[in-house]
Amino acid sequence: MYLVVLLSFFLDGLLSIYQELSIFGVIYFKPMFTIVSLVLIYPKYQKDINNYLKICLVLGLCYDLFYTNMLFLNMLVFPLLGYIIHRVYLFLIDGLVNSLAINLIALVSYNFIIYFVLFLTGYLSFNVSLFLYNLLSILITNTIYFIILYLLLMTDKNNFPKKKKYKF
Amino acid sequence: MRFNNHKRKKETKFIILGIILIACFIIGILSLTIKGDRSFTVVEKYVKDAGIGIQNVLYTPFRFVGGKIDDYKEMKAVYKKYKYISDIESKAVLLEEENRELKSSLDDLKSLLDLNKLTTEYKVINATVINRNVGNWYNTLIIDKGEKSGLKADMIVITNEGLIGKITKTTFYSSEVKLITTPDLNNKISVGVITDDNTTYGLLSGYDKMTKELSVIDIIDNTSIKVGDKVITSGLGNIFPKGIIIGTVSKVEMDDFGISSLVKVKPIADFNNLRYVTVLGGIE
Repeated sequence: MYLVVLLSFFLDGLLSIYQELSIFGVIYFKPMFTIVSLVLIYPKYQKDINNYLKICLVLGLCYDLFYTNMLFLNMLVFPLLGYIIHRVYLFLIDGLVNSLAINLIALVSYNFIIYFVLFLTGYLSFNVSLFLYNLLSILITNTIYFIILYLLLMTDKNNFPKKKKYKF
Repeated sequence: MRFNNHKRKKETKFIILGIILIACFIIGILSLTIKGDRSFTVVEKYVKDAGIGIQNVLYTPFRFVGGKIDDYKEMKAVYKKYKYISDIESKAVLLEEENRELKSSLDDLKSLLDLNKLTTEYKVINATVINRNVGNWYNTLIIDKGEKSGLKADMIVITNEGLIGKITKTTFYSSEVKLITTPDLNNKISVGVITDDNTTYGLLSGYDKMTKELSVIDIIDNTSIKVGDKVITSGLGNIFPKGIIIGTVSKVEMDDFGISSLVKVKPIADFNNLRYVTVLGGIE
């Protein structure tokens, strides 16, 4: 599982130079594989949420140090995202479609929080159409990555321990 | 019972106050770290360079395949150029004389216009893009040259087509480049629009991702601006040297208040294909 996270983390940087590749000038290649990996590894840690949040914290700090200049931003947002993933997982049973839905929720939440913080600090102006335009590309790109990784990881049943019951 | 409720309400108020204070503190810290003129701490520099080192290793197979494809394309281009050069070889002597004449005219014009420096006099440092805009909202590049190669903040970055941005931060072996297409509200560049009569000045401010056009604002006199006019850096503000092409005018309209013009500019550099860039270092 650590390998999945590390691979996704470095792929984010490696494949980011291809971000402007597009289909019909509308859908762009916008990888956010680190977030996807957080969703994918959660089932392994669903009984050990503290460890999961620690991984999110460390991953967020590394993300800030390597990729962005904004110290503490992702270090705070990633554990929050981990908590959101934890709460959403409580309501849903296992399965590709439900996991995909959680992935979409995680991506939308992450982008919304980051955009909101950047708007509050005066880095960006508030532009709903720009936000939605970017979000579409992000969701499509990362959904494809999620499906590929999910199918690859599903071959090992230990990676996805079945939930005994679901809570409401 | 009433006392417990009262105690609970008081605790809730303190919790809410605490959360608000922590949120304000965090936003304050984030505002400081987001500031454009903040330079990297030593820890950040070492960590970023280590990460880039690892990335360079992982990127080697991609670079190898990409390099082979580029080599093939270059071979075809070189053959075409060879054919062209063979044709003009005989005109080389004439071209040399013309070049001498042009250089002399250039020196005269420089002293006439009181130009201190031209872009051709800058030391050029070529670099490769290794990361781009990770996180989607920052519109930055990371290039593989840093302080060890003589790069510093505020150095201009161009491609063979035109201006793309400037260096904002450096580590020992890499630099961050902020693109001119950034949505950053603090990123304004003084530009000149070259018309038939003269040069009109404005501020480059903002980029529309949907139409892929830059916006030039605060142009008071728009009577002579027309579609197709070139937009260059004005040299005012002493950050960008004068004369680096940015793009061409694609639309002229009035701003929301009807006081000044808003000019839309199609950038000349291809922001979809930024692999190799050039940094204009100090004057040679």
